[in-house]
Amino acid sequence: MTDRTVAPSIIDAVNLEVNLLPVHKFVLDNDTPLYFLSDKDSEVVNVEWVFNGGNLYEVQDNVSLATCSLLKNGTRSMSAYQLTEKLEYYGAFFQVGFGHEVVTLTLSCLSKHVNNLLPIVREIISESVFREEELDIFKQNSLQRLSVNLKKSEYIADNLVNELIYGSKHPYARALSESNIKALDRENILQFFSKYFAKGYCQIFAVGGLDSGFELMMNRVFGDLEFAKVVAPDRPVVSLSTDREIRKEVDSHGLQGAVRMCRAFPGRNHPDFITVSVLNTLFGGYFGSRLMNNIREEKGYTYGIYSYVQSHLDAGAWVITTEAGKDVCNATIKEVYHEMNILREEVVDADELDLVKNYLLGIYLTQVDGPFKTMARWKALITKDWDETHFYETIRNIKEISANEIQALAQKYFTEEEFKEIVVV
Amino acid sequence: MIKFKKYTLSNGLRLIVHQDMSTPMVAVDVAYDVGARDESPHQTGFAHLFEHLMFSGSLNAESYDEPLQRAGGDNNAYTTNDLTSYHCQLPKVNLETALWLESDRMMSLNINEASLQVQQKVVSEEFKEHYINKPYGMVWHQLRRMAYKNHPYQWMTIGQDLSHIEQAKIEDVRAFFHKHYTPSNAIITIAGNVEFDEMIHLTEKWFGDLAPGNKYVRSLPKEPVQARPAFERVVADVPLDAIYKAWHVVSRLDPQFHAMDLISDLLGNGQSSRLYERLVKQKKLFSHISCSHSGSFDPGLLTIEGKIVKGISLEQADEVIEREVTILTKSNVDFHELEKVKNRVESLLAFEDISLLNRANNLGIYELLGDASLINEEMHNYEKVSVDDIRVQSNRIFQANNCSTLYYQSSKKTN
Repeated sequence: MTDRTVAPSIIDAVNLEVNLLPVHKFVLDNDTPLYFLSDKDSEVVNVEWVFNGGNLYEVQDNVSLATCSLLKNGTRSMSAYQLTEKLEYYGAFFQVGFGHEVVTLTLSCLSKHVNNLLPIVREIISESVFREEELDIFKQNSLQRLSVNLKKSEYIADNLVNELIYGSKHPYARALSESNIKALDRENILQFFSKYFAKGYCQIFAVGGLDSGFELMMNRVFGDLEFAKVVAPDRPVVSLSTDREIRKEVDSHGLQGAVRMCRAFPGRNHPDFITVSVLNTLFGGYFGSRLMNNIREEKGYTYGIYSYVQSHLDAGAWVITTEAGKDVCNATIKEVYHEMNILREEVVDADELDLVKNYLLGIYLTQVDGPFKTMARWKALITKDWDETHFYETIRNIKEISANEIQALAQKYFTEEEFKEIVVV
Repeated sequence: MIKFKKYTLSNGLRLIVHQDMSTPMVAVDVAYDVGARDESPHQTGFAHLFEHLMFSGSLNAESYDEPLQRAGGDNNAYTTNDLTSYHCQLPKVNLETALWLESDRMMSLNINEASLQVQQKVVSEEFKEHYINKPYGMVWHQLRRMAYKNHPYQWMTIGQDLSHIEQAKIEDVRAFFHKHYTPSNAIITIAGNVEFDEMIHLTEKWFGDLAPGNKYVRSLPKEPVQARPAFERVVADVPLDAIYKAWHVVSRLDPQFHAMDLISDLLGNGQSSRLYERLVKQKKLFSHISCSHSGSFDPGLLTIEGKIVKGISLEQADEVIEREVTILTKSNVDFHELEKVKNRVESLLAFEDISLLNRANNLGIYELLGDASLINEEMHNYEKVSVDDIRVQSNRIFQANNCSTLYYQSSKKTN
């Protein structure tokens, strides 16, 4: 009989090696970097074009978002329908991911069709026209979607977090509004598109079943576009609100409150950005966290509670987020402070710290498992101006950080008076 | 082509092994042959509530999560109307930790009042967060109730009503465990850089001495053929009018399933789909419209849902949808258009297979359906679908008597 009373022996994940497979780099004729990783066994390909074209660059509010949303809606030679029909005919998925700093265009398709699809992407990047009619449809449907979102307490609460931390004028906090949507005009979109896409700064990432000579083909299709050498964003100053508490009701029959707690945190190049990852995980970053154990597993106040650190360039926020029963929102906030307090006052015991470190290392092992995930890691590093040193530094920190260092970080950041509270019902 | 080997233990537990030499990780999926369709109408939401309780620890492992996380693993679970799946991924060197944990909770789950009470609260909050407290969140509950009169698909996995979850009793939990969570009702799939013989050995080691338990024999009430159109109008505090139409469709193993799936893609998947292009872009009657189906093991539903542009009436919206589906019953779809939706499926299936965990998960699902090797026949089944199949199947689906229509009307007088 198997002895079940003893857990099988394990090799601690912290003792396993995490290796980030190197990627190839090729520079197109127009100096655009192409990073690629070939996986001969794969039938599929992922190509991503990353532009410095997030809302940090916009002059008119929401113009970046509008440009991104309308990118697939017609070029000089193709209507919106012709364009999407062509992409979809080849079974391709083409998505545009909007962000504050970068915008990512992702083409996912079968390897055998990639040659037919790249010229279409070229056309989107260089010859989108943003017809007035498409803009009108976009405006109308965005207004309707917004009216639904404004009924969602989470949506409002998330926006309030950004407003309090960055100031309502800052791009990090710029949400869609009715007046912004109505004010959008074609000229501004065309200008934004030209400056930040057609003639913008682009980095390309490709992974999957790539033919040999893929980089040469990419050069033929994209190497003559007039991409810029570099585009640096404005870096507007954040203005932290002095408000500490917001309580808001959007639905008088609401059964739950969207609870958010947040404090300002340095931008992602601050040394603490790497070191707090273990503390954040232990506190509220995974299913076994202290917040989850206390507030979900012991008290049953919520389906889930998490904490995370926003990773913007110049400023960030440490945020705790949950949807809790309307009558236990205040009790939830009290428990969050209570857990912060324990971390400030008591050294984490070795057993729990080991657990979190092993868990995190397991996550990192998964994140570099296979070429697709490896490329996603590289993209995350490169687009933030980091390289593998940052990756290995993060791993090293997880392995080596001590309980005393964790406590010191808790004392530095888990200060109640610097946290803001938001409850939206 | 996903290669795998199968083995059945003497207690009825089925093992599937899929070898992938390229990864240092291993994925383990345990699928139990129980879903919300196996619940009593008076205790809906039970299968899902039970899924939460599966993380309460077991006889020899006080906690499920902790030892797994210590071994560098991560896990999750989900419940559908048809099945319940538990899956984890961890470094291959620590595989036995997952087998220990899964076998221990299959053998003797720690069922106690305290964890039941907490999970009842947690699931109630989940119910509120995902359904009650969301605009349009209760629509699917309503639509299922309209479409199914006998079959247990009439309720969602979260449950029909909060009170069912709140009233669950510990003895019901125990009975549920003994009835469904037995080796003979389970399939374990192991995927990674593993050898078949070694996996047989390890599975025998950890699961071999578990009592087989009773094999659950499913006998669900059949849904009678719908005799007349169903219609309801709800006035709710939502910002926009919305329309939902659901038609009964074939079961997962029906030879016409793939034609039905392609019909839903033709209509409402992607920006070049018929409904989007014609009703959102050309006619500007909807701000959003999509078509999907439940993909359930027993006969399911194909649904069109749309949010309507202000100033357009629900009746008008209904009429244009009817007109679009009628076109599919009358005229043949263009060969090029059919090829488009097939290409989409081919691509989708290929992308699904990138993830080791997906492969393990899907092998378990197909084995529950009857045979894991079905996973490798899917693309062929889609390729076979002809222009005629689409028209014939559309005629079976899009009949007035087969349809449930729900008007979700905004109580705001701004329309």
